Amino acid sequence: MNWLNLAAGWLPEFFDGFLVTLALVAMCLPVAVVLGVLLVLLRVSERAVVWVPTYAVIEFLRNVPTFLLILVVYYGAPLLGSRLDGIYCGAIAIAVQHTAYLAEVFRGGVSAVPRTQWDAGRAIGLKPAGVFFRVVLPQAVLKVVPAIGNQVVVLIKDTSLVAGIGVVDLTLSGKLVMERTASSYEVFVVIAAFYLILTTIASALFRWLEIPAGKRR
Amino acid sequence: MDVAILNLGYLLKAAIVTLEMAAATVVFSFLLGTALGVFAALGGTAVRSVLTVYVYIVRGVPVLVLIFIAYFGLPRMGLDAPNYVAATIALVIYFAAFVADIVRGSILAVPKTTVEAGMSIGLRKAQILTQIQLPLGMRLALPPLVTTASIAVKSTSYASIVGVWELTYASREVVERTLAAFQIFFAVMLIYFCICYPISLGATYLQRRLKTS
Repeated sequence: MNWLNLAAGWLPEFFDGFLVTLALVAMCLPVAVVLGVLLVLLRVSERAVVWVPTYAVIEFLRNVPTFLLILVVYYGAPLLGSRLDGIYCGAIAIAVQHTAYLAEVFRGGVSAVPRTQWDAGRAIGLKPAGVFFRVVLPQAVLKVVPAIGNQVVVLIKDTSLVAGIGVVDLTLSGKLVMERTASSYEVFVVIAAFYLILTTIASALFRWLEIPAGKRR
Repeated sequence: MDVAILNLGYLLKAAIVTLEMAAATVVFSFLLGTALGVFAALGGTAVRSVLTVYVYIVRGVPVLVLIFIAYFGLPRMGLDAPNYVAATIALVIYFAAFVADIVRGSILAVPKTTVEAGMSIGLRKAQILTQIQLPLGMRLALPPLVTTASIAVKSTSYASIVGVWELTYASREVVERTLAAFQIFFAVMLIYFCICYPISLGATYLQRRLKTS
C-alpha cells in the first residue's frame, strides 16, 4: 500500500501538523466555552438594551464564514500595529466565532429550563447571577451535551482553515508533504484519516458524557 | 468606507460566483442526499451500512481536506476539471452526507401507525413512499435542511484556498491592493450576512411552525 508507506514515512511531518491542530483546539475551546457562557447570560437578559445588541453580535458572527473572520484578524492585526503569528490570528477568529455558536447552543439549553427554576432560585434568596450560574446553567448544559459535542467536532474541523493563511497545521502539512513527494491527493486521504481519529475521539467522549454519571463504566 | 464603495462592483461580481457555487452545491447535494436518505430509510442493512460509513467519514473530516482531495485527485482520475468545479464537487459530497442523514432520520420519524394506515387501505409501497412518508418526512426535514443550506453558502468561501475566484478570494485581492482590511472585509461579511441571515431566519420560522402544528 503506498498510502501506508506515505503515512509511515512522513509521520514526523504529519505529527508536527497534528500538534498545531491540537494546540488550536486547546486554545479555542476553553475560551469559546467561557465567553459563550458569558454571552448567553447577556442574551437571556430581560433588558432590551442588553439582549438586543448581544443577539445582533451572535447572529452576525454565526452568519459569516469562519475563513473570512480568520482573514480579518490576519490582515487586520498588522494595521493595528501588532505582529501576531498566523496561528494566533486563526485561534482568535475561530474562538470568537465558536463563542457565538456555543452561546446559541447554551441558549437552547437555558430556554429548556423551566421558568419556575428561576423563580425557585430567587425564592431561596440567590441573586440573579447566582440563579443563573448555580441553578439554571448546570441544568442547561446537561440538556445540550450532544449539541456541544457536535460543536466541538465542528471546531476541530474549522481549525483546518488556518491552512489558508499559511499556518502549517495538519492540513497544510499534507500539502507540504505532497509537494516534496511524487504523491498528490493520497496525502490528503491520510490527513483525512488523522482528522477522523481526532473527531471520533471527541464525539466518543461526548457520548460518554451523555450517559448519566452513575451508569458509566 | 469609501474604499468599500469604490470596490463594491468588483465584490458583488464575485458574490454572484459565490451564489452560483452555493446554488449548485445546494441543488446537487439535496438531490443526491435525498436519494441516499430514502434508500437508507427503506433499504436493507447493506445500503444502510454503506451510508452510515459515508456519513461517518464525511462528518469527521474538514471540508477543506475534501476540497484538496477533489482538487488534486480529479486530474489524477483523468478529469481535468477547473478548480471551481472540483471545489463544488467536494462541497456536494460533503453536504449530501448531511442531507442524507437528515432525510433518513425524518422518514423514520414518520409514525409507524401512519404507514400502517396507508397499508391497510391498500396502498402500494411506492404510493406509501410518495404520498405518506416523503410528504410527512420532508416537512420534518425542512428546518435542518434550510440550516444546512446556510452552512453551504458559508462553506463556499473555503474554495478560495484552492484559488477559486469567488467573494472571499476577491476580497483578499482587494485588501492586498488597498490595505483597507477592516473596511473591505466588513463589507464582505455584510454581503455574506445578507445571504445567510434570511436563510437562518427561514429555518427558525419553519421550526416554529412545525412545533405549533
